[in-house]
Amino acid sequence: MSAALSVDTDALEHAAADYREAAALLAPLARAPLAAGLYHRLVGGPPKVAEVLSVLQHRAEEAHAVANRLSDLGEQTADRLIDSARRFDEAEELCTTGGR
Amino acid sequence: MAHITSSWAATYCLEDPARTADPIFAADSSSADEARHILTSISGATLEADHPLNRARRTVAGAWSAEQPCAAATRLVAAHADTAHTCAAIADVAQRVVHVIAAAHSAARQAYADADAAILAHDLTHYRQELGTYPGWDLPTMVITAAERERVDSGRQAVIARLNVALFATYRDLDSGAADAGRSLASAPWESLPAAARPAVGHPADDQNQANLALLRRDLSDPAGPRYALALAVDQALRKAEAAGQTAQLLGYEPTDPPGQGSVAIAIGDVDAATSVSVVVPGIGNSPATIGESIPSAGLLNDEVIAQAGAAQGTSATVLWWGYDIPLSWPDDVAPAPEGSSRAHHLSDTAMATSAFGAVQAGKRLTAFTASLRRVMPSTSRLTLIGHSWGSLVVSQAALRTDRNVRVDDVVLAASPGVGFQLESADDYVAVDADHVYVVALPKDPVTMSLTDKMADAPFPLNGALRKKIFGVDPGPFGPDPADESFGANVIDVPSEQGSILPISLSVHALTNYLSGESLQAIAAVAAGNGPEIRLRQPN
Repeated sequence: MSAALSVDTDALEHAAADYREAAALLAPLARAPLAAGLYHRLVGGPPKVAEVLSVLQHRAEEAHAVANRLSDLGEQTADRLIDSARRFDEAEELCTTGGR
Repeated sequence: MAHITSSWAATYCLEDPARTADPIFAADSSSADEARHILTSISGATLEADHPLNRARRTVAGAWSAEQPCAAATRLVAAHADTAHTCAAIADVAQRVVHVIAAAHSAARQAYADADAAILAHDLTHYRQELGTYPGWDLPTMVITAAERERVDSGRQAVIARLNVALFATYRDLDSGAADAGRSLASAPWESLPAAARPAVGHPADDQNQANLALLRRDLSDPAGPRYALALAVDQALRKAEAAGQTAQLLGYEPTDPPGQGSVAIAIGDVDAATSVSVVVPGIGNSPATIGESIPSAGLLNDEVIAQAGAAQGTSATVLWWGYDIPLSWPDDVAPAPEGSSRAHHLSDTAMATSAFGAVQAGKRLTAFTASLRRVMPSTSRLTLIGHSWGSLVVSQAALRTDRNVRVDDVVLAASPGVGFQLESADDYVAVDADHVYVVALPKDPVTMSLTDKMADAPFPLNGALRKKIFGVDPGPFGPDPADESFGANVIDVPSEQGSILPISLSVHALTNYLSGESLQAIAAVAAGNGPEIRLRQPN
C-alpha cells in the first residue's frame, strides 16, 4: 500500500505546546473544588425560584465538569501529538537505516 | 418576618403578610451569583483558549497531511467556542435571576416601609385614650372611645390589605421572573460538546468525591481549627472503609451545616459504576462524627444487594447520609459549636427526638440530596431510600416532596416510630407508588410499638391537643404507623436476628440488627429490585 503521508514532527511538538497552553488556561478553574457540591445549598423562596436556583447550581457544576473535560482533552491531545511525533521519528529512522 | 402587621392580621383574622413576605425574603440570590461567577470564569477561559487552540489547529493542518488529526483539532476549537457561548448565556440568566430576587427583596422592603409610614402617619400603633371618669366614683381615668377603636381598627386593616396587595404583586413578579429564567436554562453546557468529549462519560460522583476530599484535606491541615475534629473523624471513617477493601466516596462534607453537628455523606461502593444505589438515613443518637461505625453495615448491604441482583447484573453502592440535623446527636458531635447557649442547643436537639415536627426540614434536605445524587448516578441505576428509626420519618417526608422525575425506585421504612405528619397512607407519597413502599418492623422492637408514642408525649402532655388543633386529628407524636394495615405499605415478614426472652428489647431496634439476617436479605432484595418476591406479613 502506498501512502503520501507527510508529517513535520517538530511542528507537531509546537502544536502540543499550544494544546498544553490551552489546557493550562482552564486547569485552575477545572481543578478547583466546587464548594459543597452534592450538598447543594438548600435554596428557599417560592417554588419556581427554588427550582431555578437549583438548576443554576446544577448548570454551574456541569460547566465545571465540562471545563475539567476540556482541560483533560487539551492535555491528552498534547500527549498524543508528542507520542505520534516520536513514533514518526522512530519510523523514519527505521526507514533510513533499513532496519539495520 | 416579625412585624406588627402579623399580630394585627391574627387579631383581625386577615391574611398574615409575612406568609407572602417570608418566601420572598427566603429567596437567596447568593447561589445564583456564585453560579454566575463560575460560568463567567469558565466562559472567559474557554474563549482565551481559542488563540492557542486555533494556532495548534493551523499547525497540525500544515504539519500532518492526514485528514483526521486536522478534523479533531477543528472539533476541539469548536467545543471550546460552544462551551464559552453556552456558559456565557447561562451566566446571563444567573445575572437575571440575581436581579429579579434583588428587585423582589427591595419591593417587599418598600412595601413594609410604606406600611410603617402609614402606621405612623395615621397614628395606628396604639389606641388614643381620652380622659373619662370611673363609674360610681369621682375619679379620672383614661378610656378608649368606640370611635377611636373604629378608627384604629379600620386603619390597621387597610394597612394590612395594602401591604398584602403589594406583597402578592411582588411574589407574582418574582415567580414569573424565575419561571422565565428557568425556560432559558433548558440546555446543559455539556450538550455543546462532541459526544465523545462529554463529561457524562466521566465519573461525576468521583469528581465530587475528589472535590470534597480537597475540602477535607484543607480542614485536616489545620489541627487548631474548629473543623479539625470532624475532619479527623471523617478521615478515619474513610480509612476504615479502605482498610476493609471497600471503595469509599465522600459525597458530602459540610462541617458547619447544621451548626454544631455538620453533615457528611459517604458512599461505600462506586456510585459512578453502581447499578443499584441505596441511601441509608440514620435515626436519633447518631452523629457525623461517628459515621464510621456504620461502614461495616453498608458493606454488608452492598454485598447482599450484589448477591441478590446477581454479580453479572452489576454493582451496588450504599450511601450513608448523615446529612440532616439528627436529634440527640449532641453527645457525639464535634463540629464547630452553634452560636448561643450550648445547653439550649442540647435541649432542643433532645426535644426534637420526641416528635415528627423536625422531620419536615430534614425531609427537604434529603429531597435536595436525592435529586443531586440522581444527577450523578448512571441514569439507568436503581435508587432506594432506606430510613431507620427516626430516619424513616425523614425518608417518609422526603418521599412526600420528591418529584417523580428524580426516579426513586423504592422506599424502605425500618424500625419506624411513624411516618410524620401531612400524610395518612402510602398513597400520599409523591416519589413512589404505595406498592413501592416497604416496611420492616421487627417483633419486640419497642420503637415500632405505641408504647414509644406514649413515652414521647409523657413530658409534653399538651402536645396531643396541639397536634389536634393543627391537623384536625391527633396523628400521634410521630404520625401514622407505617406497619399498620391501614397505611397500605408492604410490611415485610421477617424475624429479628437479635434474640431476646423479654417482650421488648432495645437491642432489637439497632440499625446493625435491621441490617443483618433475614431483615438484611429483605432490604437488599428491595434495593436489588426484587421487592415483589419478598414474603409479606399477611393482614389480620
